[in-house]
Amino acid sequence: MRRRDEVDFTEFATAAVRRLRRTAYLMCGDWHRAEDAAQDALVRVYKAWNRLDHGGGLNTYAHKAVVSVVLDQAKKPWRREHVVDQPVEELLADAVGTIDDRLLVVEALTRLPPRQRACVVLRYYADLSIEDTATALDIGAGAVKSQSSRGLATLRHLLNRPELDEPANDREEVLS
Amino acid sequence: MTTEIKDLLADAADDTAQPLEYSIDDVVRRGRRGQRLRRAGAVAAGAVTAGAFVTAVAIWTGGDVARNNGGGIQPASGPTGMVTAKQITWVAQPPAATNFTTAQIRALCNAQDSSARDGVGNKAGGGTDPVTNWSVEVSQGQAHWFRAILLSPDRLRYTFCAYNSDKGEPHDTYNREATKWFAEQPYRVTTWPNGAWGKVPAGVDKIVFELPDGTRSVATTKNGWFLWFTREHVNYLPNKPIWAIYYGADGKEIARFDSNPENPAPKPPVCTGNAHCQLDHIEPHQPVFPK
Repeated sequence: MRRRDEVDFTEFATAAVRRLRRTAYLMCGDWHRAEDAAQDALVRVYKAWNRLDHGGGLNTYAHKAVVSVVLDQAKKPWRREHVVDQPVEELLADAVGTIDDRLLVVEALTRLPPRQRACVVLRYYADLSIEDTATALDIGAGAVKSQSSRGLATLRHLLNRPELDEPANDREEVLS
Repeated sequence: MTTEIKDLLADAADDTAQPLEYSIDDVVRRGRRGQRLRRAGAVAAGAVTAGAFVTAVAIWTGGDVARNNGGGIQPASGPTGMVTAKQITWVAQPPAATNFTTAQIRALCNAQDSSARDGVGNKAGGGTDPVTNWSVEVSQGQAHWFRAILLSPDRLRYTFCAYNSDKGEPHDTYNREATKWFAEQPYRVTTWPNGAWGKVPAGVDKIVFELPDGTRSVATTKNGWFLWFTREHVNYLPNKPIWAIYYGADGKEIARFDSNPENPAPKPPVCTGNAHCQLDHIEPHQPVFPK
């Protein structure tokens, strides 16, 4: 990579690293793994820098990389994830509020199948468009909509947050 | 409303209490190194292909010569060649550290602990309490030195401690962190210049370390921990694996792990001052399981 490109990369990476780490954390629920994933993702971006679309593709590619790294981590035999059929009640916020809501959210996310979790995190945390999410996950836009919809519904159920007045654009997205 | 979910996700991902433990310079270094390795790999692949071709031609030619000299003897089908079994030398591990009492081990480790608390030897989850009441789980030693694993009373933290009152190997070393890393990363070992240590994974009966020259040792195991010592400084054995080979009670290999952080060299300076970062020096390696 040329020196000028490295300067550009450093600028991009500095701006993106924390967001990538947070995205990875929501995907895996572990700050250490998230840190590793963000770093690995940025290394992938570095290696692909010269063939990436710097107009708008960098962010999508970086998120694609971080999701890929987290899911790859989960596939490793010593880190294999299991979606546990645990009673939903165990996840509901405790009455006395001793459990941090944030941990409940992370715990609830881990209950989602990986693809749904990725869709929810990329769409509703990373603010990627449907198209960018589809690109990041190598799936179709329709799959993103359905997976996001199911993931969102499950998340609401797990967190005991019933669906309220859904804005027209959200409903349209889900139903289309 | 998705706004509520978005807010919940944003709150859950709050990382204000989670400082970054590496710099972008580290990422750039890893990226550069990856590109160098890729280029080197392409060159090496070309060289191997060319070499294989030359070798194949030479061996086939040899076959033809043998046939010709053999007065009409039919050559064996395909390339021929002599396979020499690799010489294996077994090296015994040092015995338990009987020249030091438990109290001495605790006191000497605690002295290192005090100076390491604010340095890289104090890792995430390792805590900062003195180790003077920690149990000695496994040790190795000779006249002037010992290496030991000490475990906290709550069994959540451990320290690896090496002390040498004399010159030479092993050097004083100290490392303290949470025990949970081993549960999360079975078969991975932590390597320090003069050997390695770790938890014995479930179902493992024996752990054998193999140096690049074929020298093997059976690691010392006790209380579910293991220690392996070598006079070699593993940092000076680049680009070759140092295998930790795990065997079950039936003698069959369960898994193996390349414990050499210098394979491939150079070691990427990923980050400092944190347990997970320190583990990252073996991050490129993954356990290998027999098919």
